[in-house]
Amino acid sequence: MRELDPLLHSQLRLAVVSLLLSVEEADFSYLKDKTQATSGNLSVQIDKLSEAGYIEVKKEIVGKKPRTSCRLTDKGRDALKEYVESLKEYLGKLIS
Amino acid sequence: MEDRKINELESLELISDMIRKTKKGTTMKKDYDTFLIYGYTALITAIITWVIVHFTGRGEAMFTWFAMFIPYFINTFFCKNPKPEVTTYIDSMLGNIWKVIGSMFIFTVIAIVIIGILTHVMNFSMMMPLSLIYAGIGTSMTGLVIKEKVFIWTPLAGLLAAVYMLTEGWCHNYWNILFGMSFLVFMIIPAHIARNKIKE
Repeated sequence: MRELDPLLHSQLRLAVVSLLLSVEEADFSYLKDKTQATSGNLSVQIDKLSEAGYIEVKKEIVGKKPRTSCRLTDKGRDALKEYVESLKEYLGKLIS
Repeated sequence: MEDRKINELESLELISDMIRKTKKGTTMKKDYDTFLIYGYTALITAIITWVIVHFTGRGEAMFTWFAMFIPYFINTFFCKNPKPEVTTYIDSMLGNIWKVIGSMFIFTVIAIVIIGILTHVMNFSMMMPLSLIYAGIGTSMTGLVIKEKVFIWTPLAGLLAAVYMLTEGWCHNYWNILFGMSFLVFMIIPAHIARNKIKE
């Protein structure tokens, strides 16, 4: 059986990647609002996903305020696809 | 939410829950506002132009149609539009559709001016049917993307008016009313219907 990607097999990181799956770009406050995570924790998990190349992080200044936006990369999309396939395989074995 | 390990079933639930959350709240309300702003600008300009031409007989009054660019300039230079928290694929597709439509308007005006300078005949009369066709295509494509039938088919009314104008070939004052009514049918009314659906 395939191993589950340890980077995605964590509640907050999986939530972030899943949120980014169906939008083109989302900013930090949107992700914070939807995941109900603390800023510090979310920042750490975003950095981990970014270092792995799963998401692309853009930091800019908009109207004198810093803005951090994230988008899913092709590598991240493939990783999530692979992760879901592994989950299906695992659950399929449990049922049969 | 924390950085904790989850089991396989929780993972699947979390993925579907997050995807569901992105669907919620990404309404088109703001874009319907844009439809209403341009729709009403067209309708009001049409009526004003018709009244001026009717009572003064001065064809130069047709230049009031440049008022159609006012919402664009106000939005670009005077409104502070903060970047949205989230950009969906639909948002960016619609943005690109209207960028292309907007460019078609601008290039048509530029082409008419250049041709006018070269031929010494500045004839903006074709701008009206072409605008109906361009705006109609944009509205129809928007309707297809957001799956809103009322936007998809109503631009046919504008297309009918545009074909009628093109076959006539020369601008008459009632074209203003025809133009304004077309925008009422394919932009203002559908936008109100769609907004009411959101409220419900």
